[in-house]
Amino acid sequence: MKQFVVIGLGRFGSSIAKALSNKNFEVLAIDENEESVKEIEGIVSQAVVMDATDEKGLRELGIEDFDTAIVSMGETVEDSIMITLALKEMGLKHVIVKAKSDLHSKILKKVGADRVIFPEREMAAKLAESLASPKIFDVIELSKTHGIVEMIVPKKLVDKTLGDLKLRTKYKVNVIAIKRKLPITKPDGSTDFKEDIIISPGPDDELISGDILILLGENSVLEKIEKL
Amino acid sequence: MNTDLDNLLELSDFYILSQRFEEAIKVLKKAEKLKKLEPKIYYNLGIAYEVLSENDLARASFRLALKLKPDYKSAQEHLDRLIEK
Repeated sequence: MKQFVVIGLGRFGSSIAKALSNKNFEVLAIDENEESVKEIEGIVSQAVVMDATDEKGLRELGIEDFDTAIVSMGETVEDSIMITLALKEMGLKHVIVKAKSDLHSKILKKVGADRVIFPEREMAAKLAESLASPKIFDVIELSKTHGIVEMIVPKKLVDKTLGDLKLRTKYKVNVIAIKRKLPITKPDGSTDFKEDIIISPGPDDELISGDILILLGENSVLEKIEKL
Repeated sequence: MNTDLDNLLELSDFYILSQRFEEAIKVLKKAEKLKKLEPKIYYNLGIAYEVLSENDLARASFRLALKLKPDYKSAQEHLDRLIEK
């Protein structure tokens, strides 16, 4: 099982530690603030109050044996640089660090960070994208020209089968999956729905209103489909 | 007796279960015009809008359902989920 160490339990650090624990990974969470550690105790495998710039202390915790470290130090730029350097010197293969600025990112890369992230910037970009194209929920860029998008089925495609639409031959677009909300009657008689996913749908699968399509293809073509 | 309202609500359930969500919305809009302050009209509208990913309208509908019936648990659950989206 993969093991993660999360250093810094601010909003981002504690969220990622919880999310990894929910996925049943072993997570060691570290922060010098006792309250932050208390909040996460019982959720992650181990939570420790300590100053993570203390290299000796990190070694005593057996940090070298972890697969990935996530450093999310919030305000203290120097500390995140020192910790990244120490973790790389200890031989950690994968160190992901939250950066505050482009300069911070540049230094982190220089001291060996394997990945530098800007969570607020990434979230802002995603939010902007979803506000600009409300029909598109998510985008994964595969290259500059190709991507995977999650979009609401355009009206023109509703009540047609994938065989009728010939998306692959006409547009070179693959339908990877269809997310569908299936209506149900609850025990109290009220209506509700449950989410279902059809992976690799076939030519006989018919699209219905409200379906969410997960499509892989050229970005310009995916934009055209969105506007159908 | 709320016969008209009951019939329209039953019809909206039928349309939702048959995945004819736009038709369910039309029927529920008719029910709304009867001006009987029935939370289920707005709950069903919320469900139909949510399935169609019309999340702003779904949120507004669930909020109205909760205004009429503050302890409407299912409406609250849907609203909470939509707010986090």
